Amino acid sequence: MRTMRISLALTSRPRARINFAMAFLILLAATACNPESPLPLEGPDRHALGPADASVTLVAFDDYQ
Amino acid sequence: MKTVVIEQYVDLGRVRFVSRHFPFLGPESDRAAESAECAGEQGRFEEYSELLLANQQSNRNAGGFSDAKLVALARFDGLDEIVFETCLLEGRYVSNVEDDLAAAAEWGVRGTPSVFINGEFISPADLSTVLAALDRALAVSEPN
Repeated sequence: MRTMRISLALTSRPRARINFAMAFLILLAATACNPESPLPLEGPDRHALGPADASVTLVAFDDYQ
Repeated sequence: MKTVVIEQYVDLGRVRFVSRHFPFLGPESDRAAESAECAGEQGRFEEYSELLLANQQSNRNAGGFSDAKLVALARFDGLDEIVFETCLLEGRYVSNVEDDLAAAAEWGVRGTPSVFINGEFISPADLSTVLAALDRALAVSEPN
């Protein structure tokens, strides 16, 4: 009985390694395929008026011409 | 629109107003946006922006916002002319304007003015629509 358990443990280790490697590769592929997160709408707040902690923020894109 | 929003909401501490560039009407739009950044370097972004808007020309890209005109506006606004002109000639803020353009593209901006309130695109961006949207947003965030 004990011998069988050991042999099972030994055989399951490579499988666990394979599973881990697969999971790692899937995670890597998912990260590579994921589109970049969108650029923040508010940007670096170079030209912001009003309190930084206001509950409402208006962002206006404009052209001077 | 900006003036009304600032007077009625921003100055009362209820709303934050973020200005970003979307120069899509030609090379003088780019230079005007860069010049506003240069004015901002001297702490006069808002004032200089108002000057630009007050000096809009009906003929676009026809010299209304040539570098010489932009420098003249800076002089009129009381900016340090040499510092301003150097900033403009060096293209010191080209990348800032490009960053705004890239963000605008990602957020689906197609024209101006384009307004977002708490991330929601407001259309049309006329005064009454924007004020109504602000009131709705404030009613949610300030229920009492």
